[in-house]
Amino acid sequence: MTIALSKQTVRKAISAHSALGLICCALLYLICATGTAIVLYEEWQRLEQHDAPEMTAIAPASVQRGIENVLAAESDRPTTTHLYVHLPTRDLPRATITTDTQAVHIDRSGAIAMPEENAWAEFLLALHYRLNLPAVIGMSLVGLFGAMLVALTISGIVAHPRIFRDAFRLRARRADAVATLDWHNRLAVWTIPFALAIALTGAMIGLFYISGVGLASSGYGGDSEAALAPVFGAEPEGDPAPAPIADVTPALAFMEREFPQTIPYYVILHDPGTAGQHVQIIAEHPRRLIFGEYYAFSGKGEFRGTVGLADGTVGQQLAASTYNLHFGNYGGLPVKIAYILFGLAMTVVVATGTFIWLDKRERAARPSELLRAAWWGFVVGVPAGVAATLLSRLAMGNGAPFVAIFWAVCLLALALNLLRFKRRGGVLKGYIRVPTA
Amino acid sequence: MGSDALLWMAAALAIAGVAVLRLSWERPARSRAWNIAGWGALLAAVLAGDAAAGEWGIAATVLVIMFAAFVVLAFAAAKPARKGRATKGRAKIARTSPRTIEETAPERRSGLVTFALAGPISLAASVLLALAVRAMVLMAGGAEADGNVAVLATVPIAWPILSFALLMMSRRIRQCALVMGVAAVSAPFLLLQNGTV
Repeated sequence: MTIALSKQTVRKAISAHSALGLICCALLYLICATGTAIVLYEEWQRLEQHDAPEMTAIAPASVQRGIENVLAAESDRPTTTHLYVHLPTRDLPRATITTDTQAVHIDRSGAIAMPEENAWAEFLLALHYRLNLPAVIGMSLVGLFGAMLVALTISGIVAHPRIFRDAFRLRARRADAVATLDWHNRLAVWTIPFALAIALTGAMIGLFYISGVGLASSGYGGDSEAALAPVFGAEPEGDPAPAPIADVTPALAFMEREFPQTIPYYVILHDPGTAGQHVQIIAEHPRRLIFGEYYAFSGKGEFRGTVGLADGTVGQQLAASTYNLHFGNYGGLPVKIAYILFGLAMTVVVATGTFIWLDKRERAARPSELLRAAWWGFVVGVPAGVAATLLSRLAMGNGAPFVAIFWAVCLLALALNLLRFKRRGGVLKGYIRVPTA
Repeated sequence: MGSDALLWMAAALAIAGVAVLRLSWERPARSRAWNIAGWGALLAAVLAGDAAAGEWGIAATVLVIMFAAFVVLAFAAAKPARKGRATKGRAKIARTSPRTIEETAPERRSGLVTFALAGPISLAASVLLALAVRAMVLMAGGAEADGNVAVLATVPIAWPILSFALLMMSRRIRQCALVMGVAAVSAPFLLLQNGTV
C-alpha cells in the first residue's frame, strides 16, 4: 500500500521534516530520553530512599495522627496553607505528608519517621518537564517541542510514500546509512500513536502558560485560576478564624463506605486550623485514564460532592486524562514497561533523524563530520549525564548538585567526542558511515 | 461477555491484525483482501478495547498493537544482511528522499522570516483559532469547561499543522496569506469571550 502523493509534495515534506528536526533535535532528544527515564518516577523514589517505611495501606486514624504530628512539629512557624497526605499506593507504598515547608514519611501508626529525600527523582522530573529552568519558560519550551513533535510526525508521514508497504522492512544488520534510515522510519511509523499521544498531551500541559494565559486574558480578566475553575473546580472562600484541626477520619471512612470501587491516594487539607478549612480526597478510578476524581468534604467530614473529572463534561474528563496518558501510569508495571520501550524508540528516532541528515550532507559531498562528532557526543552525553547524577545521588546523598553534574557530564561527553575527532585528523572511524560513491 | 474477556479478545485481535498485515505486505503483489483483513482486525481490536474499558481499553489495546509490531520488527532486525545489495539500498534512499541538500531547499529564502512565520506568528494565530473554537463551543450551548479545555487542546493540534502547512508552501505570499487568514477569521471571536461565559 502506498499513499499517492506527488514527488514534489514528498520532497517538500522531507524538507519541512528536516528543517523542523534540525531545529528541535537536541532538546527533543533530551526530552524524550528523560521522559523515558521518568516513567519509573515512583520506583526511582523507592530506590533513593529504600529505608523509608512502606505499607500496603494505612488506617484513617493513623493518617489523622500523622497530620496532627506534622502540624505540631511546625508550631514554631506560620501554619501551612495546604497539607498533602500521599496514601500508600501499589507503585509507591508509602505515606508521606507534604506542607508548604517540608515533606516527611510517616509510619503505620502516624508517627513521623524521616524526611522525604527524593531530590534525584525530582531533578529528573524537572529536567523533563521544564529543562531545570523556571516553570514559565521551561514548561513553555517543552510544550513548544511537544507541538513540534506533532509537526514532525505529520511531516514524516507525508514524507514517506511507502509508509505501509515498508512498515516491516528493517535491514538493521547492514550497519550503514540504509540501516540508520530503516531504524528511523520503522520505529517512527510504529510509534505514531504513542508519539502523537505523548506529544499532544505534553504540549497541552506545557503550553498552558501560553494557551491558558490567552484564555485567562480574553475571558477571565487575566485570572488563570478562574479559567481552570470550570474544569478542576474552584477553591471555596476561606475563613481565617482559628479552629481545631480538621478530622479526616470520617472523610476516609465515607470513601470506603460509599465509593468502595475507588482507591483514595491523596488527602488534601486546605487552610488547616482555620474555620474555613476543608478536605479533598483524590481517588483513583480503576481502568480509567483520568488521574482521579476530587471528593470534597467540609472540615467536619461532611461530603460536599465531586468536581466531575470522572463523570462530568467531556472536556473535564479529557483534561483529567492528559497526565496519566502522558506519564504512562494507568496500568501498572506492564504499561510502564511499554512506555519505556516506546520512549526509547522515540529517543532513537530523534537521534537517527539527525544522523540521516548528516548522511545526506555526506552524499552531497558536503560532509559535516565535526557536527556528527558533536551530535554523537550529545547523544551519549545525555544518558551518561543522567547516569552520573544517579550515581552521585547514591554516593553523595540528597544534596548532590544534580543540575551542575548533569550538564557538566553532557559538555564533557561532547568535548571528548570532538577531541577524539580532532585526534583522528578529522576522519571519523567507528561511527555510522554511508557508502561512498 | 465480561470486560476482562473483551480485553483479552482485543489483545488477540491486535496481535492477529499485525500478523496479517505483516504477511500481506510481504507479498510481491498487493492483496486488497489481506489488507482489509489486517486493518479490520486492528479496528475490531480497538472497538473491543473500547467496549471493555472505554478510553482506557483503547489505550491498552493500542499499546498491544505497537508491541506486536515491535516483536515483528525485532525478527526483521535479526535477519542477516543480504550480500551485494548496497547499490540497491542506495537507490531506495534516492527514491524516497532527496539526493542532495540542494534538493531539499530549492529556493533561497530568509530562514529567519520562515522561522518567525512557522514559529511565534503561527502560534499566535493558533491561540486565536483556539479562542474562536471556545466561542463557538459556548455559542452552541456547550459547557464552559468544554470550551476552556477546547482552547488548551486546540493549540497543540492547530499550531503544528499550521507550521507544517507553511513549510510546505513555496511562495512567501501564500505563507503570509494562510497565517494572516487564520488570524483574521479567528480574531472577531475575541469579542465573544466575555459575553458567552
